[in-house]
Amino acid sequence: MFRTILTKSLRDYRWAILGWGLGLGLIVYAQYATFAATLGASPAQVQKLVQQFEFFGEAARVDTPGGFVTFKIMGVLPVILGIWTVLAGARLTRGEEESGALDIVLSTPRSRRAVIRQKLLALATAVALISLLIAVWILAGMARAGVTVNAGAALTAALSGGLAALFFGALALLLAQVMSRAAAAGTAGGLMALAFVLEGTGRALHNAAVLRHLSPLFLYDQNLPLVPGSAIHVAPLLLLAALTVLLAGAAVPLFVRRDIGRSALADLASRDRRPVPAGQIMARERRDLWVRGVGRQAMRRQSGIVFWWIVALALYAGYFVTVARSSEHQFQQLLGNSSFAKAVFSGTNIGTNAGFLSALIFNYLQLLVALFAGILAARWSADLDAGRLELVVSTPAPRSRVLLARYAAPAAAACLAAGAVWLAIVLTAGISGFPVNPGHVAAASAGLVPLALITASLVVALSGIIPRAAILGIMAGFLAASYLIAVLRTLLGLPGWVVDLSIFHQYGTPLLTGLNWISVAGLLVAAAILLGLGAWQFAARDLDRGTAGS
Amino acid sequence: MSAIIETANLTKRYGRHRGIVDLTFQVQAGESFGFLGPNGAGKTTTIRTLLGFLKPTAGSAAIAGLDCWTQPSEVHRVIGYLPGEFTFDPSLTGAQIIAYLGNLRGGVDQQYALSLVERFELDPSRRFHEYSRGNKQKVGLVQAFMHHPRLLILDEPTSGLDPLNQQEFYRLVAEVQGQGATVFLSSHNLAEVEHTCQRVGIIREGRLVKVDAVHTLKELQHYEVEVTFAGPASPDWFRRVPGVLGVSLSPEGHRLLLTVQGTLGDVVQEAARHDATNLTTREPSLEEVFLRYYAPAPAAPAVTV
Repeated sequence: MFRTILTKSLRDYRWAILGWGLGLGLIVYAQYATFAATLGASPAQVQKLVQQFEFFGEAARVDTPGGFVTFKIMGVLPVILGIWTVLAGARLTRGEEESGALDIVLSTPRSRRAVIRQKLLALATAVALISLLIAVWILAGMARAGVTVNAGAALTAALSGGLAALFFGALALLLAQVMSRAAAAGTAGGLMALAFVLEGTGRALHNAAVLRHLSPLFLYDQNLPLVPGSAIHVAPLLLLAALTVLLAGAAVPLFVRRDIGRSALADLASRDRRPVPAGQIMARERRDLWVRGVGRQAMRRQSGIVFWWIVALALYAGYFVTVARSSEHQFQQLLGNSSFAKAVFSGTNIGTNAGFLSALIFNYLQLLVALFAGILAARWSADLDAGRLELVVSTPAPRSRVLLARYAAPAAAACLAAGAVWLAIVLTAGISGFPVNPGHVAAASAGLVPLALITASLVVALSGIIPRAAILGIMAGFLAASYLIAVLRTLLGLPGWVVDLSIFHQYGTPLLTGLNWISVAGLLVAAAILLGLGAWQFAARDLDRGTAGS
Repeated sequence: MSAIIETANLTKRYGRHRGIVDLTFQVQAGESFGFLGPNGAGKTTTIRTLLGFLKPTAGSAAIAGLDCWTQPSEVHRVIGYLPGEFTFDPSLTGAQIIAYLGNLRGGVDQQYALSLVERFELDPSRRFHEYSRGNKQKVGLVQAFMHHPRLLILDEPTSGLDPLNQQEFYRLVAEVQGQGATVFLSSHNLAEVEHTCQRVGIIREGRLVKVDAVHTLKELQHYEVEVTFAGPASPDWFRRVPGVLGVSLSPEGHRLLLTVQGTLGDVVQEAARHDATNLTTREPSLEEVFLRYYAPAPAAPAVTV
């Protein structure tokens, strides 16, 4: 595995390939499995219903398993996988560069061009392998749903999703040539969210269809290979591939010609900066509130990613309140207590405003907020792996306090996210005249926090024992399994105690029924136990110097 | 003087790998102690065990009477530490790192911290990832000294520093020592140890093979003595002379090559008795003394001091 940069990079991606491939594949499979229980629904009603939700995905032949899966998951699949490709793209050259490891690689007789090409090839190969794993699950789903097992359609669907995700990875790589890794990941992630909103809005609102042409996801949506009888359009895929190659290709000469270890944007910002005496700088930094403790410093460090996540979550929530307002009456007329609608929205009765919001917003937010907190907590693991905590731990602060202070960053971010979601829903509901109960919205928003805490605690408990990439894989698997158990509980006939293990089942539907305090307490206790385990193992074991990741 | 660092049979194993074995030594308050050894000998493992980062497999380590593993916070109040591989959040500036660690540590003399920054000519406005290795080391040194610690534990402190800043560092160590601080310094640089340390511990393959004052080590060193005689010489003349460890005859038979430990008085007298015409001595450098200790040996006895 260490013969070339390509194989070494692929080795680095091994956990991500497994985690994302199996996790996303399972989610797709679950949609096929969900469909099997809804055969009794009226096709006309179903078609009419999902057209209201075209924001999420193309609504074509949703009365078939392939159409249903396309509508339910394939529209968002590139964006979910895009979270990883954006992080990997921003890290591709900038990650090793910022850690100082790239210098030694570039000092070998490999040209910069060869280095970035091999790394790019590794990223593309990893995305292809993830797509292949997803394709295998699609095939399994087809078999489960009793439709013709079509390997070509499964491969086309998974690979085109992977290609769309790779597009955003290439964008992050390009941005990382002129800015820091974190800034590139944040900007590319923001542009990806924007692309998704433009595509969804253009798809859902026909008078805004022009917006779709501004989004690269429009090219992806031109093919619906899982929809029966759908023709394959090669041109949009080729254009998407060409754009991806163009972005990645533009990054290559920039990487070849620029100064290693510097960023053009940072240089630009500091160009006209007048030299300031050391005493002034030192005095200014001493007054800085954000370096006054481990927790605050961690919050400052992650403020960029936290800001963009919270903005995206709030926009998501606000946007769907607006959608809900515009189609409120149609839904109530259409849905009633449709069994199909319940299946689509994981058992939630969407015939009421609260049910509608619960299904549309909180069903997805619970997963997103948990993922958000887990990604933030994984920074702790990265710092441990890199040996960046050695000096902090050499101060008189006890190790357990250092860990708890660091844990406060994802915990505070989760609280902020919950608050922002609440505010976005209440404000947009107020402006658009959509009646919601602020108390219930607060309960549903606050209920997200324990999910975030338990995910962050899981990451902390595993940190330092296994490498960060493996932790992210386990976290993704845990969240996927929890989500699937919650979604498929009735279909799979799982025993009650298994269903109770799902954190998302424990979350329930607080917008409808209020918070289940027993569940909340259970989640908090579980989070505390995991955090305690993390604190205990961190305090009781040897502090490695960057060896956990090797 | 009382011991500020005290280890007793300190042992750390990493699974089947050797770390350090049966290290027993003391560092007295106010002294400067050099810790020498080749790569992988166990210097950093010893330091990380002293800091409470590693749990001893056996034995104990104490700083200022506090157990390093069970009372790390109390131990950390006493020390200033510079790790061998200094890494930090790459996005923070030097000033932010110093302010941050100062806040975590408490008791920082801000004027002194600033004077250190100026003394090492560090630009505190740059981000950590923009610093050269030497400048990163300067940030590390400032944060290690800025709170006037009683004990400084410095792992390869001059690594990456230019000669001018190395000299500044030596002056700084002399100053803090003059104020009563203790310095525990690991190094490969023998000149640095001679400059800064009163005592030296030599570690090889995880075991402490020698602990002594720098001047004693020099006294213990061997001399190479070449004695030339007018006529044929015999090695037997010197075999029983005190201090002579070895003797060999040159091929032409007029010169004897002696290896001598200690003073040369007896050797000179014996040479005079046999009408020596010339006597030259060569004093091995301190480096050669250390290299002798560094060289792999079948069974080096552990030293208890």
